[in-house]
Amino acid sequence: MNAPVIGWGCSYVPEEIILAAECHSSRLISDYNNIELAEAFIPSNVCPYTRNVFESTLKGDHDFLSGVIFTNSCQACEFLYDNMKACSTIKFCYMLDVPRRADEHGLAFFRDRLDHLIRAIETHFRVNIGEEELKQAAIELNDNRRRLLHINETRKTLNPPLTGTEFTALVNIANDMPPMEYSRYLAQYEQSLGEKLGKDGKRILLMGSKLSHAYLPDLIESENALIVYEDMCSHHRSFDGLVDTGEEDILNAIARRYLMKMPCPRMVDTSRHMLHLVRIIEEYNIDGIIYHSLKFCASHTIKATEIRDRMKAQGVPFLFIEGDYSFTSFEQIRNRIGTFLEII
Amino acid sequence: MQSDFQRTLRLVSQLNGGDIRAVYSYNQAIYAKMRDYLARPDKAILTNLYMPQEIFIAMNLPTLFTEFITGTLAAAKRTLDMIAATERVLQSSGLCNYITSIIGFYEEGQLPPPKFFIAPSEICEDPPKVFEYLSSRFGSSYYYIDIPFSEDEKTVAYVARQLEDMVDYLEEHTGQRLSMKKLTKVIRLSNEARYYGLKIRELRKRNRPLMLGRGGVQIMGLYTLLGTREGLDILKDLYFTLKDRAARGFKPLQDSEYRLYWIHQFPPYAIKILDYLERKLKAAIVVEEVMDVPSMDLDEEKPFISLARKILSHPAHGTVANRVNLAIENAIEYQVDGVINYSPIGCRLGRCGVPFLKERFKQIDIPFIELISDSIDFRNYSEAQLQTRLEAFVEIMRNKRTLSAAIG
Repeated sequence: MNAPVIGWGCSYVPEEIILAAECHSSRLISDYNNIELAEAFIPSNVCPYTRNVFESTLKGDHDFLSGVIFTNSCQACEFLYDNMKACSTIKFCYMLDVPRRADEHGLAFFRDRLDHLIRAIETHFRVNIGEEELKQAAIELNDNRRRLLHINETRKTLNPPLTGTEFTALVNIANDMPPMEYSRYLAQYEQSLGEKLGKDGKRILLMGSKLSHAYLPDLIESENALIVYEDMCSHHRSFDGLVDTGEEDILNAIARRYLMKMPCPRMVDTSRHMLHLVRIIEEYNIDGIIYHSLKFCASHTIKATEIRDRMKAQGVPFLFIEGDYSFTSFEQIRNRIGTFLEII
Repeated sequence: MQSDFQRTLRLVSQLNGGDIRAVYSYNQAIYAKMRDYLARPDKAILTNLYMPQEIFIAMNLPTLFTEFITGTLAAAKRTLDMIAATERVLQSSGLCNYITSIIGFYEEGQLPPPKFFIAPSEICEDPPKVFEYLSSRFGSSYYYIDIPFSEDEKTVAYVARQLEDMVDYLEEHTGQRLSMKKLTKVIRLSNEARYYGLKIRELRKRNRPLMLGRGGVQIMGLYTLLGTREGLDILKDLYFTLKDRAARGFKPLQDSEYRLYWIHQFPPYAIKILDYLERKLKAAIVVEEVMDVPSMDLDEEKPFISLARKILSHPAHGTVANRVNLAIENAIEYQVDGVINYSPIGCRLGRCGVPFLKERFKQIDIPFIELISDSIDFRNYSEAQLQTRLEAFVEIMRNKRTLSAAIG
């Protein structure tokens, strides 16, 4: 019998719990250019990713899902939850509270919420999620995180062995295979890199929320530039930090890893992310930053403004572009990127 | 020299408020708040409507709410400069300009930046990010209250704990101590004001329209005064005014034919259209979502826990079903003939609730209309268009009534 598949959209959803329940984990992605059905439910001034995912749901693309775990990461996620619950055939729609404060109270609260999630999955899917299963899942996912971190490190070199387009494809492929299989794939990939010397170009730090497709990196890299780091939910923020599998309370260790990983703009963060950026700019020899935000995303849009101001003060070229999670407006974006690269 | 905002608010505070004295008293109270803010900028707080204010009142800290600022300037059509200043800073349009324009407000120096920007992640997600940006821009402190989606007891404890931490933080940074005796007094005032709020609701339920709906939407921030003597006096005064009107059979709208439920805000600069709706089209607003009374009394024995409950019990908190259920309940209790939902263009909360509201009102056969406009940028407003839509809506209610009468 096929294992149930549980979907998720935010990198704060602990996949360890899904795997420990012997379910498949699947990141919600979608690729519609036109929103037709979802338009009636989620207005056009809401996150285009959310609308796109809901379009997929309404068109039956998510019929293979047995459940979805949402987070209160942003308002749009909450609206998606309400709509999925009301309109989809997916029986298990769960809202996971992720604290925005990564302090001891936030950690204790998050651990409690994860415990609640486990009970809900156990009841709905009639499974038992034990500490051993959680630990095993954490070991497997840690292994992949280590490998991705290592591959990412190789991009510090002058002629990195892989492009940003290739790295995006590499992180996205995780969605198509179970962790153990992905681990083997990554191991082979690491080996294949060897001493390979890749292309050269203006070194770009790409920032933003998520990239489910490689079209943007491809577009940037077709313009004599090379993306050497992605500070994004679908990239670094998804594999940053490890679960301490030696900790007695494994659930606490999982909660800590997710809460303490490099924060996304929805978190309260005074300086950690900014210091991280300064380090990345230096270590990866960054020539310029391209910040790609999804339209109507308050967290990213306003955070990008603060980062722009700081980068300006440090003399780091910065370009802000907005996208609507579709494959349109290529040429306008190409134009802006081309101009930006010229002034670097 | 006074800024545009200071002059506007002083002027607004001198207007008589029209139909009910409460509007005048409310504007006076807001003006006093601004003066306090100006007098003590080293202790001043800027926050938003979803933050329980009882703690700040008890600590005697000057507090302003973003919505007062943008609402006041919008009413006087004095928002264009701050919108332009915001657009020079922000790299994107499309967010809620009711909130984001506060960036331009401080960029223009309309008020000195506060000592603290305090934001709860309650309901609307723009204020925390705007405040975070402003605090970094102007070097003010930023304090954040994380409000989860869930509403169980552990969530209540988590929020309560943060409120206690906030008090410690404010005590340390202002030198003002929170006296529990003072907090108890504030809570009593808050509960008493709530009591009159409930009585006002009861009066409006069982009577023909006792006040103009424009009064209701104009005092949308009234519940930010809960816990103050002024807040209690305003609600008490409003209650006795309406009670007296009911006893005398006084009707501010002599021949109103339809009862309406007004959901969400209203563009403050376009109050004239409400007169058109209520006087010309004879459709009176008898209940406003913004006039909803907090659902429970505060417990003076457990102040932080009960303030946390107050935040979490806001109808717009959590799942959209909470807000929709309350809307249905209100529509039935007030026996309304129609529901008008005003959605500000950039407000995601307002617009996302509409499909759910529309569907539920359809099920109980109450006409529903969504009006979309810009809350503060009057250049995006078309009065004629709004008039036409309101006329069509009243016609729907009329036809429904005629049809109901015909089929008995």
